[in-house]
Amino acid sequence: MSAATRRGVSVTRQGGTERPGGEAPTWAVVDGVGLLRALRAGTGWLERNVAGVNALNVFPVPDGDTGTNMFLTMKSAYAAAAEGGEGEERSVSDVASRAAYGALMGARGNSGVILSQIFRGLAKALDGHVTLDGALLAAALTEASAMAYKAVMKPVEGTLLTVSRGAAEAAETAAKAGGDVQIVLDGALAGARATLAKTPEMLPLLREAGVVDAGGQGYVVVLEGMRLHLAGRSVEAEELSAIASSGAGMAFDVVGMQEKHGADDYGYCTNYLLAAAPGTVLDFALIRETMAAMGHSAVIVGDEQYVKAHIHTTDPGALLSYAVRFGSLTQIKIDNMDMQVEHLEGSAPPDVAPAEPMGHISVVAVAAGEGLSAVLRGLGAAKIVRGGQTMNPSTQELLDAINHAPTDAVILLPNNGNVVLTARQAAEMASKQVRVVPTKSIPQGIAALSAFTFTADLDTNAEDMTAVASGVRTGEVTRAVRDATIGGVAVKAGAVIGLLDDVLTVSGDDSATVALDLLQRMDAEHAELVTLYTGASVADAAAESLSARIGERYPTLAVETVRGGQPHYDFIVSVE
Amino acid sequence: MRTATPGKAVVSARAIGSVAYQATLGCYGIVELVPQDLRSRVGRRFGHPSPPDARDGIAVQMDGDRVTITLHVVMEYGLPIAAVAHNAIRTVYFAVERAFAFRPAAVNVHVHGLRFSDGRGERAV
Repeated sequence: MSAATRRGVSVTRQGGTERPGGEAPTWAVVDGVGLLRALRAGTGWLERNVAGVNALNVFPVPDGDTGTNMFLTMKSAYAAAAEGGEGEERSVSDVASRAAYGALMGARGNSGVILSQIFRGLAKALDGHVTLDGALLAAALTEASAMAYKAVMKPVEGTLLTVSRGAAEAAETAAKAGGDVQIVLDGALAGARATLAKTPEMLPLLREAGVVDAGGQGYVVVLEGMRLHLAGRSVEAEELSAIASSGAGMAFDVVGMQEKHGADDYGYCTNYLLAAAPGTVLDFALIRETMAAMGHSAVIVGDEQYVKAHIHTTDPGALLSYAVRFGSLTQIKIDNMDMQVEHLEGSAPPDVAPAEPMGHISVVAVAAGEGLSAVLRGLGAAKIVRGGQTMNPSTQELLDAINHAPTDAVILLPNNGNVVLTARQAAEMASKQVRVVPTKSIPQGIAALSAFTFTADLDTNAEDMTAVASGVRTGEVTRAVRDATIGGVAVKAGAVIGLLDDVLTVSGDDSATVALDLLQRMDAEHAELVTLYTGASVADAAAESLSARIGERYPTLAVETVRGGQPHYDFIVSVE
Repeated sequence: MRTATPGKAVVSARAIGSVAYQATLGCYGIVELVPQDLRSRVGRRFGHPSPPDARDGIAVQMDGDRVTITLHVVMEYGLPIAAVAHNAIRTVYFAVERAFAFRPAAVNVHVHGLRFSDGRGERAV
């Protein structure tokens, strides 16, 4: 074997090693210098991704320094290995044993200690070997993982340990198929990523935080750095987004979503397995990104053939419709978490512990009807107080909700003209900082909530939300409780009436016709979207029929129907 | 706001010991907990270990509100002892604080021995 081939990895930096005859580069064998440079690449890549790994840390101590600790350990390992120089005679055995010593001396934190044990296992497996081939690499990764498992009484699965084992098992499979160093490392990386993606299923703490294990992520990053080097790419020049677009980068997305949505378990817990249509491949990165944006608490894993998704969303239909465009869906499971939560709330003692605050401001909203409550929760309301037109909540009820909200700053959405005054009273009595955004209807409340931002302060939020809400016009369809003539509109008790921004405007015989009449007065032909919240007494068929009639009359208007479940009002409509 | 309601919770040394024990089991690098009572030590010496207890090797001292926890452990040879001990201390602090909502005054680690598990004998104390 020529020196050039034997020192395959080191020569890559000069443009790749070619087999005699000018064939594609080969990585059948790596020597000591090759291993050393791969170590440097792994260390360099980890250094560039330290912040991302730090951001994941929740276990066992949420101190956010796993990435830093692993990097310092890697750096110490590389520095010790590099002391032996880059002479032609260096063996992989020498590099690995020096690296193990360096890792031991420089180990920081739990993940660093585990990493040092992994190096110890590598050194043991490579002892006496001059060069490294695919089979030896797989054996070394296996020994490394086994060694790592030995040093703990009760291994915690879903951590760096598990990821190291996943890497080793996949490497063995690749080596048995006759893979060279590159193929075995590819296998190890794929195995590590797949295991990393499963860590939230193994550790509830990760699951709650919506992240993968930080130590495991660090290990994946190191393997990625080595792999990039083997592919002839410089980790210094590589775009950081390379990791975010890989399966391992999922965690970073999830962290971002948690910040936006909070860890609320509302809406529908939607799970399915998407298999690519025959003869096609999936653009996993794009699909994951799109799906994740359609909900929260997303855990999405997959490759070019399959995507397994777990997402909390207020609209499972949209998720399924999106996914089915790419292939076939199986293992579909959708749970209504609102029902579970409401069941819990109903049975819990009144003085339940407040939920973990997500951000420094929480929103308390008044609503009647399960559907409306779910919509408001889906938009981020922390507490819902039952109430509406004929059952105004008391000051005390509002005060209780404010006190049980998870933060010291609270925004209150009365969502009814008759509740605004009570809300102001409750705000004055509360010992917390409370701002009332005087929403007079559910559509105004929903508009206000959609203008809420976690990053803005209390007063800015209150101002923005008030401004947005005041621009929303609301139509309500209900029944007159007595004979009356108001504003020139005469109604008899029991007749259907339409209110436009709380003012009696139209009356008629059936609620659908009144709703259409209201829409016309709300200038629907110049709007883009009408949202129809259907009441508890309205059958689905009646709602669909009205939706269809609106569609016929205003062909350019998008109609969204929400099962509000509110009492007394057959329909609440908003126009945007 | 919620008012303080009368009443107090009393946490026993035994309960704290159990939490510390469980946390220590998962500490990377610690491969054994060494019971400190005389009977266990004599039993071990003659090859008759007593059945494991949920507080083996954990000593909890309570002095008023001050709680001191000592872990009596054997570590894996070849690991950085200071780093392992440091991790164990932080893990136990975290576990106890999470379970009981107070911080121990101190968590000490007493390393009784090292275990060789890579072919050089299983244990040397």
